[in-house]
Amino acid sequence: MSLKETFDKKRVAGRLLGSPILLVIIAMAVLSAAFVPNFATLYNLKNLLLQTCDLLIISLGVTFTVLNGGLDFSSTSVLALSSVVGAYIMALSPLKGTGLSILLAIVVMVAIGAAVGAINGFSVVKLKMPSFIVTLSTQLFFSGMAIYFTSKVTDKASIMGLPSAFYRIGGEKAFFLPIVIAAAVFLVSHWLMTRTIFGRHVLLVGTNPKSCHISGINVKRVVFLLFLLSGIYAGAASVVLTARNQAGISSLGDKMFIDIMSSIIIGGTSIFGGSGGAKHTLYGVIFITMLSNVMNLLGMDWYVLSLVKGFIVIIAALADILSNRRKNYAAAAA
Amino acid sequence: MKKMKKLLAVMLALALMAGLAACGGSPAPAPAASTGDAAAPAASAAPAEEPAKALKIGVSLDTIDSDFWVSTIDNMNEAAAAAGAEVVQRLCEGDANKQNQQIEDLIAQGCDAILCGARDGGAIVAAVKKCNEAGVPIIMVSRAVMGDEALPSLQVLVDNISLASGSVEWVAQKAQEEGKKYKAVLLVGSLGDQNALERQQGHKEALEKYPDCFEIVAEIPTDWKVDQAYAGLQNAFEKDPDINLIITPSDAMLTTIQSVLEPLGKWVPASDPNHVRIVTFDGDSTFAKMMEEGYVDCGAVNDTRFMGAESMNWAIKLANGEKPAELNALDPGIVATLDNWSDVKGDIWGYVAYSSK
Repeated sequence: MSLKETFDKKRVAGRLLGSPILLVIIAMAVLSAAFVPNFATLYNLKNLLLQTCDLLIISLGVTFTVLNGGLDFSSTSVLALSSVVGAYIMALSPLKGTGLSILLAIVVMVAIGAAVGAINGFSVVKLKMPSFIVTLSTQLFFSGMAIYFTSKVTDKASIMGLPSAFYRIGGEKAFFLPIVIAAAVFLVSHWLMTRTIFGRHVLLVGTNPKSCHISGINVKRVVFLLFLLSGIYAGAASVVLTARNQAGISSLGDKMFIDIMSSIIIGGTSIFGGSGGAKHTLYGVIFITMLSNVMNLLGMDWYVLSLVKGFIVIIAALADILSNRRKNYAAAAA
Repeated sequence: MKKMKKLLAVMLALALMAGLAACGGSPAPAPAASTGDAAAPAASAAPAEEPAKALKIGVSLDTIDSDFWVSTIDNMNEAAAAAGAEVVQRLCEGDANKQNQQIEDLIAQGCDAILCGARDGGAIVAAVKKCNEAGVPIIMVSRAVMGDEALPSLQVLVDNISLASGSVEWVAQKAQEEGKKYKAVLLVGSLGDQNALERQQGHKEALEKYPDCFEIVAEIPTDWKVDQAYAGLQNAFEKDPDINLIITPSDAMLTTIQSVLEPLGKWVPASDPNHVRIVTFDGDSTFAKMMEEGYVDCGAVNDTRFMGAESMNWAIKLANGEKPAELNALDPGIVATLDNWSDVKGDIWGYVAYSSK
């Protein structure tokens, strides 16, 4: 597609109307720039960008499981466990302070995510357990493990003294780095979901797993890979967040799951599976982050933000349910 | 469906615009409770000058689910009102990452100083660095920054370790007088909270210092959750019905302790031979009531008036360019026991609240 075609008025209008949340984001940005004090300052916009990156990577991972009609509660426990283990390697292990410790920590943090994802995938596919139950159980188990591990390696509440070079991944002295990382993760996710056979299979399996099985798609392999990917993304998100917070935190991401699911649902990915994707999650993350930022700048009480988020998630979920019902009626009528 | 989508988009946009219009602008400044009369003559003496811009003080806290924090915040607001400063409050509800983001937002909002009750003393270092880079003074309240990678402008702290060990030392003294050995259960707060870890350290140091007086039969991590404390205590008494000392790091657990002891017939005043000694920390109104009635034996007490007023007053001074002489301003606290209760209770914030009801 040429540039002229990309920016053709009709195509742009179609894209805007096809993603209602995009219209809302644009309206919110314009109104906030005009009426919210300190919104349009360089400092605040920089924070907004970094906070968006914080939420985006992990939300993209969970999107894979939601596309399949499932859930991954354990993603936040991976954040915590990876954070403390990685911090231990960098700050307390025999390798502490070296460049090798940073490299090893990153690999181990992502590997922990992969391991948790594999456990979830195996339980769902082979043991045929509902993803809700499996990931809730692993969330409790690995959250507890994070706290237990921290209590055994230090008498402090978190693990500090990480190499300062590691902080660059979180944006210290290299503001662009987390943005580049998040952008790369988004592009890979978008490519996977829209340009690969795997991505097609993800949507098809989310829509109708039985038909896919009959058609010869390896449904079990697809589902397993979804949970594996979700775990890997959570491990990667932990690297960025640990660098941002400059400490291994045993409670990292404790309350983040609400924002993750809010972003996915508001972005337009269906909780019934079969529709949505990386682009939708990106819009949802931008919306949620901007909403939090604007309401903080307006000095609104913290519980008001919860009320507003909850209200908007209900509206978005309602739209999804109505859309799904319409599809079912259409399928039944055909 | 396209029409539905468009309609929802318009509704969302309208809702947002209405919300922004209704809530837009800065919050009203804190009322100047005691400066009204003094301000009037000063204003009439210099009518041509523009009024000084009210300072904006950000307050970033973990949670306000305990009387300690409610009382501390009340004292902060009182001090802010007296100085005519505006207060912007944020709660992170147990999320250290969110607290760092909220502090970034407070800096972006133009706060002249920030008071911080950190969720995690290690994770808050990143936020302290940002404040230092932005030239915004940050004062830690009750919870210190860990390490020396980044130092705040001031820390207003409780000496948790000394107070906790002091309270157990009093029980050791009683044990020696009685010729008795206590079987102790130690409740522990959240392992992610530096205050909880320091209180645990103080309690344990004193318990281990007197092996002839104490035997630790159970150590129960509660994560500051009363249901975990309840289950842990029940199991401990199930295993060893002779437990006669319970040490808790917070008054928030006192009603839970009562719930466990009452069915066992052990919720009795100190004069009763079946009494289980209780040692606690904070000094809220529940503690005061139970001390008055003799159910609780000893408590380490923070001074929330010192915490709240001292930290807010220093926030205002720092915003105006003053510098403190020391990094830490320590609240010495009080160890209140059944022996000295009548002498010290008037200085305890929880007793003041309890006795005014």
